[in-house]
Amino acid sequence: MEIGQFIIYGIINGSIYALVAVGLALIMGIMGIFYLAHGCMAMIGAYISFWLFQDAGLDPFLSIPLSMGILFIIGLAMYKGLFSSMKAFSPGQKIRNSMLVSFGLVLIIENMAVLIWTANERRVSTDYSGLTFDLAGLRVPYIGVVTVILAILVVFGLHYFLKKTFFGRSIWAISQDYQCARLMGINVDRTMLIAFGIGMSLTAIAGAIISQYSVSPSIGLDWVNKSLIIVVLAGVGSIGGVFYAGLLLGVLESVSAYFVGVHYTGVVSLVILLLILVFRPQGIFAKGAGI
Amino acid sequence: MRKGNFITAAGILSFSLVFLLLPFMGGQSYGGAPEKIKVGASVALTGKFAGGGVDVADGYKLAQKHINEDGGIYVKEYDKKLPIEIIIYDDESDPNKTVARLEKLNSVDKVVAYLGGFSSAMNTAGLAIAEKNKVPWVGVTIAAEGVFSQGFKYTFAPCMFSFMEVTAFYDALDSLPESQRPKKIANFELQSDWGIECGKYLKEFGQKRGYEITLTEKYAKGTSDFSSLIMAAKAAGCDAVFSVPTPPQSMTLIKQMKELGYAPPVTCFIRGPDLSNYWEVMGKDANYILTCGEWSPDMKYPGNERLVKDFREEKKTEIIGMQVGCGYGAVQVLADAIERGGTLDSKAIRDALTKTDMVTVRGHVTFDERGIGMVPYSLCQWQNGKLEVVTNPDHTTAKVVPAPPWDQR
Amino acid sequence: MPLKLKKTIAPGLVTAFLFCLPLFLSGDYYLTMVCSLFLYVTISQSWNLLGGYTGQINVGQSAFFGTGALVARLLWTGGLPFIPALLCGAFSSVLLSLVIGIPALRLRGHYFAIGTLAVAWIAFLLAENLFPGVTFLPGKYVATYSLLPRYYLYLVIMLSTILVVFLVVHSRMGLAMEAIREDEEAAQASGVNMTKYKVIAFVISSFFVGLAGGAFAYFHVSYYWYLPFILMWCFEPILITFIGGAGTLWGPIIGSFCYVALKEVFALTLGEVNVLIFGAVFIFIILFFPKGIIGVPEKLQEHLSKKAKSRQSARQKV
Repeated sequence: MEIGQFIIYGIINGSIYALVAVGLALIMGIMGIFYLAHGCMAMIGAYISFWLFQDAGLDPFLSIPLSMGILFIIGLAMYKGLFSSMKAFSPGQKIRNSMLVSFGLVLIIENMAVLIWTANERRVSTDYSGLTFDLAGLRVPYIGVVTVILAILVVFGLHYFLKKTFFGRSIWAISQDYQCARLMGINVDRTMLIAFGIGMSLTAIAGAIISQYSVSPSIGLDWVNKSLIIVVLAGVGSIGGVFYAGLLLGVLESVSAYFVGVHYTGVVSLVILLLILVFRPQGIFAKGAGI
Repeated sequence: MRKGNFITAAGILSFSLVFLLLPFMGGQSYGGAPEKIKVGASVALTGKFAGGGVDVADGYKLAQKHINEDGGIYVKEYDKKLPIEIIIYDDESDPNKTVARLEKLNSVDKVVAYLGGFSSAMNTAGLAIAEKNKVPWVGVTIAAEGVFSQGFKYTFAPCMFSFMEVTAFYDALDSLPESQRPKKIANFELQSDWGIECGKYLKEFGQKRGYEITLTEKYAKGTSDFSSLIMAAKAAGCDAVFSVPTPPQSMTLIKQMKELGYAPPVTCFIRGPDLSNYWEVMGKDANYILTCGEWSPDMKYPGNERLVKDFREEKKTEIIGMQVGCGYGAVQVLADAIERGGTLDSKAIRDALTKTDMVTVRGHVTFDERGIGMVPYSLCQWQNGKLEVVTNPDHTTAKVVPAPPWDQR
Repeated sequence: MPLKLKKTIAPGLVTAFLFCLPLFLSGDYYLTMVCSLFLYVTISQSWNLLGGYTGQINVGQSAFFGTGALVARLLWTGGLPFIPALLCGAFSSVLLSLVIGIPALRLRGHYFAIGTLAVAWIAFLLAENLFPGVTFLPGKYVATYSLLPRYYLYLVIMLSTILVVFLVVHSRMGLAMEAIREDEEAAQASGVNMTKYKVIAFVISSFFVGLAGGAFAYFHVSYYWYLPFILMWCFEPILITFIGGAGTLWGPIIGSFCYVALKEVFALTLGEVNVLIFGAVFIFIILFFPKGIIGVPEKLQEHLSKKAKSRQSARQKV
């Protein structure tokens, strides 16, 4: 019975991880931009949800389209200003420079957040937060169910978007071979710009969930570390795999609490990651190079 | 390539010059008879601990303002009152930087005493430097007794330590009528030095006072899922829970306790919920939580009214963080010692500190031979949006209220 | 004067200057700042050997720094004299690198990076839980504490790191390492034993990082045991090396200088916004000097010669 409760929390946590990591899977996995500031963007998304709730009374789930829009625009500006100059770099140099630039971004964003919003923790407490329903003797939080559904919709939605739509496939094409894509008539600049914007706006959804747990200016780095691990676990370039990798990590962490105690769950999940890397370094779900 | 080497070398030389300019940044040191009393602090104004750090710094600045408004500190050696200047540097929540800043305050700014920073990690580094430099250090937000048992002579902390928090907790339990008093206590033990100390004292004092620590569950700083601890406590039928979580853990714990339907009559979380915006963040769920009560704007100690009035006027906000009062109190202790010492010599100030016996905005302060402050043991409880003082030898504003089950709130 | 002698005069002078430096610096503050600088140069230069020259991006350096510090501190406060404790710390770090390195180096690119990050994170979590308190210097050491031996310790470690990296890089080993960085498949095809050289680079790198960790343990009077394991010790050497110029000897040195000096100056003069401004300056440097600060003279030369060329062509037109 107890294990069941852990698994439920594990699935919910895993879904949050997936929601945060999916944007990074697009920006880093496919576009090749080592975006260390990704966690900070989720933090901003959470703050947007918080302030919309606090000042305008908007429910955090209902305000998602609005926060997605705001982050999309921020993403466009960020790409144009910082990363567009790197489009023609070799993959190695692109990763290196984008990592450095995004590190600078982390410093700026975190400190601006402290200056504007103070370092205090914030949380969205709706009327339904903490409410649960009964499932075979286990308690399932309503917000948890919504989180899992959102994770499935977003991750697989993005996956199919990239596979089936022309725009999505052109993003792939650019990531495979920049010059070739240009010669094929794809407007590379505009495509990358919008793709980056999409990746950023996805963090708004994660942010809406995170805001109901707690948000403060310093949570960015921990989230990006987790997301990096999930993106690699799923296989760099895989989008759908992010959901399963997130779930795996979440459930493993929760269940291992039962065996090693809550203070060592982090170690367990990381050790499992290492084992997977050793035996299947390309990640669980990558089908080799390509889609 | 030779040109490149030259430019590189020139670049390095110019940067070296920067190092030489460092002494002229931040503070200036004057020679001759002092115009003011210089005291220094390295506080987390940015980074993870900025929330509490800014509060401590605000307390220092307000105390400085009031002392100078009253004419300053009388120093017998010069037979006059000198104003106090508190130089505050940012250590960016990094203990490595705390060391560098304190060294600068000593070598360059030539301060006569240090004030502490915010939180154990920075303070532990800081007080060691104070001891090494033989400069007296007065700080708050340090709660691990082990840190103060190294035989250091120059460090003083007028704040509540682990054994005091636990004693206050048991006092709060004792204050409940027999029929409502919890018997089985769950200790959610944070794996940090002071969390483990609290665990030790819970057991030790519990035995003497007739309480049972039914279960001890460990967790770490990075833990974000407390379901296993809560379910264990629920299954064991514990009617009180004690822990020392910092945010965000102090929020996640309550949220999950609500989700899992666990509502012990007494919940005592020291640290996290003492932040003034806890109610704002948690809403009604914060009700009934006992937390640290070192200082509250409602306390009636001398000087508190002035502090509260000035702070609210300046910052235009009702909410005052607990550390503002604690920081203010630390400056009061230091100023009093400087005056009693009669000179600005570090050793004299240190000796005067050992004989401290005064009432500050947070109550009566003396020090034991380790430098641990003997301050009033005090706890607060969140009651309908307000932090009421429920355990305190001098003033309480309300009684401890046991919590009803979640569905009855 | 023969070229070799010329080449050793400048470094020799600088070394002599550094040894005499404490005479010119008054006060512990400067010594502390310079020690900090030496520490960063050491850990960045060590990282540079594996990351900059051999191309293996190790994001887990804090595990080695921390191990060196932990072992050295445990042994030293336990009674062992410091130098043996320091060496034990460094060798523990090397041991760890062999245990981790040999399986990890089979991973390429991102995977090696994430794998080493995971190792560092595990090390941090274990340190936090197994050693939850503070390590204090015993009273007698505090009473006789002096910054001078610590300064010289940091100096010697830094100089030996630079020297060893210099020697390796200018040897056949260095050639092999750079070949691996450029193109692993091609290197392997031309007979370079990849595993051997990657492991050598890893071992040398972790030895010096372990020494730096031991020096850290010697320097600080008291700190939380987990402090040398925090992940910033992973990220900072990478940032410093890249911003200075990876794969060059001067890169980590210049990078450390700029990083430490700028951060300190900003912190002392800019108050609350100091980290923000630092981040902005950081980004500015990367965007305009993508090869790192070491590429600045090159860029300036490019810029100047472009100007000269356009002036020339303008003259020709007339």
